[in-house]
Amino acid sequence: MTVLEEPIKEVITLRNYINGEWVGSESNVFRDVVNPATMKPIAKVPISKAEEMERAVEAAREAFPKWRRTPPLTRARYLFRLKELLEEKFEEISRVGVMEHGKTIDESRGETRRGIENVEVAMGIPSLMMGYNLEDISRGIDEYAIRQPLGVFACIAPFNFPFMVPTWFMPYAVATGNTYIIKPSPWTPISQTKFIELIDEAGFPPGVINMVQGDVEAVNVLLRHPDVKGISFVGSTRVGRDVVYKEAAAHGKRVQAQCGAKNFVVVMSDTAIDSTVASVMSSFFGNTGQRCLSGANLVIVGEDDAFYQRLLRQVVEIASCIRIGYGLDESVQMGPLQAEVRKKQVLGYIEKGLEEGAKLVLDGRKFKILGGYPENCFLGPSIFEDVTSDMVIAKEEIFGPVMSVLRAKNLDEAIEMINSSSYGNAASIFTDSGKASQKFQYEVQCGNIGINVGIAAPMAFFPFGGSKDSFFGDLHGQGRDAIEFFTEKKIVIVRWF
Amino acid sequence: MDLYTASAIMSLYGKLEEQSARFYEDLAANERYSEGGEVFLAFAREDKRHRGMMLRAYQETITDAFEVVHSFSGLRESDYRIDTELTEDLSYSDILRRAAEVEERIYRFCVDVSEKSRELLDDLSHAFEGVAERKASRRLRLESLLEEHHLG
Repeated sequence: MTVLEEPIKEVITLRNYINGEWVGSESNVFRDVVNPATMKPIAKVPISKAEEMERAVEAAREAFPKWRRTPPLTRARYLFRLKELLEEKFEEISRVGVMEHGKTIDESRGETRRGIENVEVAMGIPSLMMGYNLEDISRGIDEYAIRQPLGVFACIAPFNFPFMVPTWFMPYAVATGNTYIIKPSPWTPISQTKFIELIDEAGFPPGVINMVQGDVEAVNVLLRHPDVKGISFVGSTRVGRDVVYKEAAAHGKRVQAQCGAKNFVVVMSDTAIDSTVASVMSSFFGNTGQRCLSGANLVIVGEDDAFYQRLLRQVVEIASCIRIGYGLDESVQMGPLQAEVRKKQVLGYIEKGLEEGAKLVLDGRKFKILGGYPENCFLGPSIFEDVTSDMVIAKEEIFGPVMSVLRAKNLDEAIEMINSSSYGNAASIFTDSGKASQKFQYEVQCGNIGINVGIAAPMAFFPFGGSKDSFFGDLHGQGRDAIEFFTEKKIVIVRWF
Repeated sequence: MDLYTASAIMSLYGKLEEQSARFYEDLAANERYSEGGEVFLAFAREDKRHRGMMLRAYQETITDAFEVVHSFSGLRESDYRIDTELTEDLSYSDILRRAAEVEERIYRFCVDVSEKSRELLDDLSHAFEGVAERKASRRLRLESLLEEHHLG
């Protein structure tokens, strides 16, 4: 058992980054950031006051005119420097991610890489931001569309991918000439602090990128401030729809709110079973189930009982062997949940599943932790059989390592189950049939579709889809959608006499 | 110890290349084995380059979509241990044979990892395949050095 060295040796007091300066918070309210594997505090995060966020907005607003006039190629060069620094600090950022979140080191490195990929895509801004034109729209008259930045944008980040999620937005926002404010999750604020240290080192002009730690008070400033032109949010549907989307839209802002999910993974009996099971494991139990793209409901299609039993047996067998422990231990395959409160919530759903009559074929409440770490946030994988679509565990987002197994007579019934869900984030199908996968892709009402892929996570150059209660807004994060979101098209019609 | 994760595999690979590089550097610095000095130095440089290249391949391949819970079952650290200890009594021929064993062991490791990761981590699998090919050709080079030494 090799446990990698921890990059955080003592408790850090986190600060805000406003107008190119690191500033201690004026707040006297601090929250402990706890390593969920060891339960040791690793940082203190300030719950900043409204005035501190207002100062960040002011700094970003003042930095905007000059930054906007900075040529796109020059803006891209700042991102090139940032990319180099991110590569240098790749391992440190990844290990910090393990310490603040609990995920395994492989998972955390994957997250860091995904973040860097967004910076890489945004580097192409001179091409991505180009407009279009047509001469002679009428005799002697030309017309063209140019893209212009709008001003100050902000991101309200979630706890589950604390490093990566702000990169779905920020690199595109600043590359297109906007200025930016990041509000990290107070549960996992350290990797963003490391990221901002690199932004500072890359030499971005003061005020172009700012970070304010905090919670509701700081968020409310962003949602209501007239100088903030748009908000990107990732988190629960309750907050995303009922607070962020409504409030920000009421204040005339652009909004993209990526919210909760209940993702279905459909398995047809013609699938390659071994590869399917390996992929399913990652889909349901990767990141300890705390992913908006995680599989939640496994739907086995057909009336072939032998296939059903064989698949379920393999899934249970492999899930029961998943090695649980501290994510910096290289032999560990699943870390703890991010906080005790999240474990409590997942335990509540397990109880609910039992009450509803589902059969718990793998009980994650009984588990062994490698290395003797405290049990507080740990939970093993759980698998429910005999789940029906009307059960709470089949409908609500659990956000933990719990699999609900359902059966469908045929593909139509499986698609009907998916489309009946209030969520529409992701769905996957495992099959050898092109016809079935084509039907699935066509009919399923979800923003991200996996065909023989358990986690349909779009790469940086594609938008991160989502529909129904999983997304509020019209333009998504990443890719061309991000360019659209962060720019306004201006149409120019020209005639010379 | 069994290797269950990509991280553990990459750590072991890094150690093997580091150990191998040190071994060849020591050989190159030893006058008794000066006949193979240039080859040994080139091998040491290549080991370091491979290590960096493979670390990059891993870091660039691994994403949050990667099947991280997938277990690399059947890989045991003890199967790939290499003996790089040098003792006074080792002749040039002994050293070449020892080096060929080192190459063979790392080659085996690379082939095994490549096979295990083919399904879900194809890029990494190809990268390991490339290193394995290079290790195989280095073993042949060592064998030909041994032959030349005996002939000449």
